[in-house]
Amino acid sequence: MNIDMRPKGERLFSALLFVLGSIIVVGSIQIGLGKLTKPGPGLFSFFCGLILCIQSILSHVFKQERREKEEVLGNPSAIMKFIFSIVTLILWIVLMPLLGWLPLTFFVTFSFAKIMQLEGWIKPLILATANTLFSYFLFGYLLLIDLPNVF
Amino acid sequence: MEFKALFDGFVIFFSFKYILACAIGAVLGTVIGVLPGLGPTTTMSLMLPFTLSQDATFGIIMLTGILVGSQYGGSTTSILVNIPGEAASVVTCLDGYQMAKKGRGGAALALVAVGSFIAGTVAILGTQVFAPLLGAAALKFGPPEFLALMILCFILLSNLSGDSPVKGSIMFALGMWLSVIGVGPLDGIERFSFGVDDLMMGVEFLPVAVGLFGVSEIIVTSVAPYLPPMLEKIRLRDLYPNREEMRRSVGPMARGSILGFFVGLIPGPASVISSFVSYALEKRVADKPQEFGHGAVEGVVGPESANNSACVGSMIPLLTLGIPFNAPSAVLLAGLLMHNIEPGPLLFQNSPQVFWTYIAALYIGNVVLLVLNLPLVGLFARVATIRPTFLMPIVSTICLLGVYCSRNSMFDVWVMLIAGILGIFFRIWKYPIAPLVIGLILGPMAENSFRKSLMMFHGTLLPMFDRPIALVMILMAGSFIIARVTYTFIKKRE
Repeated sequence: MNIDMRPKGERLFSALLFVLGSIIVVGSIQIGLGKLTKPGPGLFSFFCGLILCIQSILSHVFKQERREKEEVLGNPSAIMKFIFSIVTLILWIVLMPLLGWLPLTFFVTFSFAKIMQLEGWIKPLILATANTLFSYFLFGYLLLIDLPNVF
Repeated sequence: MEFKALFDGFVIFFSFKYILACAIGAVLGTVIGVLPGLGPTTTMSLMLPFTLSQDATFGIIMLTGILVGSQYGGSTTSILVNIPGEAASVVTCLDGYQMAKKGRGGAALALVAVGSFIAGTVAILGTQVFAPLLGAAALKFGPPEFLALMILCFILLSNLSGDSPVKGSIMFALGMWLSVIGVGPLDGIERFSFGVDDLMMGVEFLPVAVGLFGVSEIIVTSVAPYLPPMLEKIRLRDLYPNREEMRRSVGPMARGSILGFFVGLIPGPASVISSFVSYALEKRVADKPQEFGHGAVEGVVGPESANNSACVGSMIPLLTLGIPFNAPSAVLLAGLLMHNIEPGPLLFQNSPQVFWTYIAALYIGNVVLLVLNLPLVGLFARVATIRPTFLMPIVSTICLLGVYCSRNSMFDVWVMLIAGILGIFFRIWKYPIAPLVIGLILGPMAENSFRKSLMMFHGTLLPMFDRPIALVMILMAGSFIIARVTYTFIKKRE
């Protein structure tokens, strides 16, 4: 008996792709397919959505050979690191207008250093300080880029 | 060959600024090639915003330096530590590391450097000869020919990128759809922007590419950091290959150079494919095939020459047709478009200096890489031992600031973040990223040629078969599908 060994997540993902494809198809019809002699603005995206729907069904239905289990998000600690990484990036975006880019560059470097388990507190602090100074030199001094600055 | 134009290209190139761009690109590319994880596409995407403060020639020289340098650098860790710096060097591990274990690592590196230099030069010559010819031929391309080319790209990229053609085509279609978002160029109608003002301008290439390649790499590495490798020691005197090794390397260098150049003209990951094909070819023609896998010099020099040649050759479709056949070319195209230069048939008429300066930069860059790689190989190899815990926090800030400062838009950073999160799941479930990026950049051209062809032929695409160029491309796509299905069928029966 051929047993599908793919994780449930992948099946869910291909189902999501099917839903996205359907939304694109419906959206394209609403935008307007036009006629074949005078194609409308929705015709091309209609075919993109159609390909997405058909292929996601094929990817959902066809069984693939068993392969090595993907270990990227395989344990609770990895999932926590993943969440912390995303939260760090979101905080950078959300806090930028309030704190400006230099403190946030320090924060992101420090946060990623800790997420990646750089030992102790001194090394992450030195790394964050050095990277902030380097970023200031590169973006602020050399390239003269206008970044949000509160101070 | 237009020697006068090439000479002018060298004249433009020989300014401090462009030599600096070439050197920065070559060194950065070599360092990136050495590091596991960060590939040339990620680095080129990260460097795109920095090129905006300079002119187009500066940008294209630096980005090309990164691309070519990464091919050189990738071989260093494959040979010395059995870890490929990037995908095209995977096959080099097989015999390169075995040579290093026998104390011939230095000789392998020297031969690879020389082989890459020769292959690079052959491919540049090929580009110099074929690109203007193809560019002139491409002037005859109308919407049906471009549509046929898009179909060929779709079929080949879906099949050659990643393990599954189904997933490849999903990603290509997704990329094409992303390119549709925003106000349509032909009729000014808003499409899929869902009332978000920032989406009216469309989805930018840079945040998507940095997110998919860069941010996903940072997060994956922070979740599961790779271990820095142990180096096989090499001494300067070990760099000299012996007479036997040199004799055995001549054939693989020549074959790899020519094979790689032509593989570079095919859509898909040309560098990776060329290295594997070259390895198989060398094994087939070798006097002692039993040595392969145990330190055969042909198995190192052939694939490395091929991937360098393919890397240069893959630029021809980009420059002449304006169509990127792989992810690094897509980044290069985005860079050119950001500088208001549209590659394609008209490049040779409108901006010939860009093309010829680019060729001049390739020649000089190749020499720079040879000069750098021979004496500094030990230093570059040490870069591989930098722990990701130091590297990735720095890369994360470059991603964030780089994407933000390209348009001073926080929306782009959100797009990058979303692309990064999706990129992780694409990696986990083995959805190839390159077709999405290429689809995003080819989308407008595909839509344009599709709609114009339909209007030209009054609602049918059948007259495309009456046009020889379009017919050839559709037949190529059709034969590839038949070959693929037959191969799968035979394999299943076996």
